[in-house]
Amino acid sequence: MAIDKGVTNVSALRGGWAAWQQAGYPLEGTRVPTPSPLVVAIEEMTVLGSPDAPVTIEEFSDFQ
Amino acid sequence: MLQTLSQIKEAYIDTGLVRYVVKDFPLLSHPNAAIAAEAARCAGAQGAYWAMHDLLFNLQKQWSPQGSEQVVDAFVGYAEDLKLDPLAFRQCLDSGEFGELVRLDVWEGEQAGVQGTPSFRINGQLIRGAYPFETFQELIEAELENTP
Repeated sequence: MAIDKGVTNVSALRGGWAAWQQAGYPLEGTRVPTPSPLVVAIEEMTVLGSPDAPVTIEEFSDFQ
Repeated sequence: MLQTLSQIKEAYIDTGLVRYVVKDFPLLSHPNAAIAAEAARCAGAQGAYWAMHDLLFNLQKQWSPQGSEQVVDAFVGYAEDLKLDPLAFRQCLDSGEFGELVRLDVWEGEQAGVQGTPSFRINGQLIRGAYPFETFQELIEAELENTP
């Protein structure tokens, strides 16, 4: 269940602030919501290297 | 591509100059590609994304021709080879836990103009096709020169 929530969170985050609000996540004043460690971990599992690296390579690939 | 990635890792990722992100883009013409993408992520849920990633590419000829049920059994076998919890892994695959994330990657690729695999974005610039390390080296060095 926690994973399902995380996936929804990712979708909302990718849609920006409006999507976050539309998804019904709690609003606390004007504070920008931060993703849970679970969401970050899921997002980062396919990533190598420093988030501060000057060059980002995204590979769109197909295992088959 | 595994060899090229290994060279990029040694020269640029491990030195902090490149961040490398794998996005799934399973092609419709490859019937086992989507479940393979989910298998890699299910392994990732147990801390073994890259081990499964490499295994799937190395054993591609073994699992590619299999039917939908046999291929799941093959992936569970790979999970066992990697000392993962096979029950949790199979449950992850059966539940489609990571299907939504795979579909998000496909959507993102389509928005970026990806039409086939492999394709790459280097600091946002789309490159279509597989290239040797030397080509990536030129492109990365050009980006590094443009970095303030």
